Amino acid sequence: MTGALPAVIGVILATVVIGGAVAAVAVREQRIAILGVLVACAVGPFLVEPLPDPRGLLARIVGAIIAAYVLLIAVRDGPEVDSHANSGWPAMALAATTAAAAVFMAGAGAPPGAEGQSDGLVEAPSLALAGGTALLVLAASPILLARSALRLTLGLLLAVTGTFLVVGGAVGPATPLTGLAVAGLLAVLAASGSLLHRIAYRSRIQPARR
Amino acid sequence: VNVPGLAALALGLGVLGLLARRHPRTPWLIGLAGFAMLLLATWTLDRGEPTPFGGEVFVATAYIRLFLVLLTVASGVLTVVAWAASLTPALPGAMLTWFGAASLGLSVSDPVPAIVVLTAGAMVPTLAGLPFGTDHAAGELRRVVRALAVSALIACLATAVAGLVGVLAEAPVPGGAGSLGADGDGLRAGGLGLAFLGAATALGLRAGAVPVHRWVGRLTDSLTAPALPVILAWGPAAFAIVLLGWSKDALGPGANTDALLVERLLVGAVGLASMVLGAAAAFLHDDLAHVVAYSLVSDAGVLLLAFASLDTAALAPARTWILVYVVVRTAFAGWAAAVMLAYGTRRVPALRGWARRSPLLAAGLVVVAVATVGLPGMAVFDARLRVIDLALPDPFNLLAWVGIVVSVGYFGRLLANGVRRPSAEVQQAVGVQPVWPGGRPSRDLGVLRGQLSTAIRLNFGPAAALAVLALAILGLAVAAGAFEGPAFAAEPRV
Repeated sequence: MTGALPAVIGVILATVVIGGAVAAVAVREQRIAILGVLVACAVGPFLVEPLPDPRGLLARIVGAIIAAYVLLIAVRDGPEVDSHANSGWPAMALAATTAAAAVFMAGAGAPPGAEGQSDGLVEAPSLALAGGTALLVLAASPILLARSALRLTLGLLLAVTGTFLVVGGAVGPATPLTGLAVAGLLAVLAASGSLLHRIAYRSRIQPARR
Repeated sequence: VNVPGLAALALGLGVLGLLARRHPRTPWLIGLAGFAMLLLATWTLDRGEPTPFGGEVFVATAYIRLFLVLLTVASGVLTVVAWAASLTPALPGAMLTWFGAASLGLSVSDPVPAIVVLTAGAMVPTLAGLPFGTDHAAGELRRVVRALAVSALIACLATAVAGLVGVLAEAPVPGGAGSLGADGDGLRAGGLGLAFLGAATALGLRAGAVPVHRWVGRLTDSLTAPALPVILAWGPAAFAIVLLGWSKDALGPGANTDALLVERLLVGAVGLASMVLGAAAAFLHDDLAHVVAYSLVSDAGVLLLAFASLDTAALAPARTWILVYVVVRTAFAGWAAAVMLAYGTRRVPALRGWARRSPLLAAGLVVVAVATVGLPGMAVFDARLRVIDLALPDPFNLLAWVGIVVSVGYFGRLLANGVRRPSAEVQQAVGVQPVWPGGRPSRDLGVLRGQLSTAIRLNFGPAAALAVLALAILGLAVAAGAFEGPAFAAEPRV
């Protein structure tokens, strides 16, 4: 994102991704949480600079849509809200924004040409690194603490997207095969979460905290 | 046949097997026919021919081809055992799907897509191997899915950190000192150390090493025994092959210096602890499935030691040991399933005297024990010894022998229990010995056909025992260095 307009677009995209992720972990309405994860997973790959191969991008978008659809099937017959969301979206948003800002400033905060700043090396991908770090921070809570399969799955989907933003920011855009593999992982994770959610719903017993 | 073609065939068969899972026989037949086809296809795989696909290059080295061949045989035997025990019919389809993912993941040069493909592939047998319908099983599966996904993500992040360090170190800057500045060496070592620890954590979590083994032990309560090696041996083996190859390249220059000494010692200590404590837990547990699971925890220690050595000289012995590990642990899990099928219990004390009534199973366990522990001069023995010596300094490498001795102990305990006076469960078990309906085959073709059908139904147990013995013998051959395993393992990776 070197020009003024692309930089603005990049920041807007990052805001959308982080906003979607905050919704995914903090909103109690399940469908909105799934929509949030769809937005984060589908828009996330666009933060990597240079943009990955269109085939890889398409695969990631399709993977995100399939994942969201599979999760929507799971929650179709269940209650619309659950009690497993992390309460306090402002706190989640603040944590994610702080993490993103810290990484962004560490990577690209120094003015161009300043001592210690490598030209174009960490400046361009820092948006992907920042966005990826924010997603990983948001995903940590549901992955470590979630008592619900759905919430765990949402956290894992965000973690996958966050991880590949960090990987893209660190070592460059993914190949189409990597995009396809990540899309497959998103779909398989969603399928497992969907299956587990259905089992828990059918047995009418919430998985106990272990 | 090239790698993407092989993977497409396996994935197609896997999906077919999963779709047919509600039919009583079809998924098993698809499994057996599928693995026979895959054995043939893998045998004729284009060796060393690069196949570009999706921006990556696939190369099936001789080692990968041998690994996949052994996997097809092991999968075929597990299919026989699981069918005999009437276990979940989704298992053959899941194993075929995993095979497809493994063939892709092991042949691609870039570790990131390899790890992702292997992880996605491992989810399928996880989903298919558990008896669903209970909240307990769902809770266990939640834990497995989390462990698989998190280990993969940590490994990918580790590769990213190493990649970033590499990029920064090589980037030219006007001052000419490198992007990392005057403290470049220290920063580089720190970054590589972080990547190394991340990758080791991922491998430990994926393989169920101590202290992140909790999910393995609890999973065993819900998982059927034949599904154990699919999740706990094949997956970690493939993961380790990818990470060992990656570490040699990414952490290579300077990795053998003292820069990563502390990290290496830390991972080595964890590997040693896993090796010893896993074997001790296998010795102490009374549940047969737990014995198998904790023996795999012990093996996870060897994988970590191989990773900790960070020495190119350790790569070939580690890969040799992995070949044996995959086949022999599959035979051990198959043996446990066959014992449970024969005697209807998985409690070791209740299985007293099993070896007296099941000589085939007794022979199978003896062969598994010899192939696992090895004897001086056998490839598996020398390979493990080399890995330990390269990973651990004196005198800590001697401690690893404790783990090996305890491994002998749990096999010895099972065998000693088997030759004692039979328990009530063992005495009352039926279908343990091979039988032929009517005493001998009839000369009347119509009657013979009926006898054959009945004989198949009556001999599921002995057939499973025979299949396990055959696989154990194959494992022993690999452990002895057959099929050019050590030579192929020494060939350079993609």
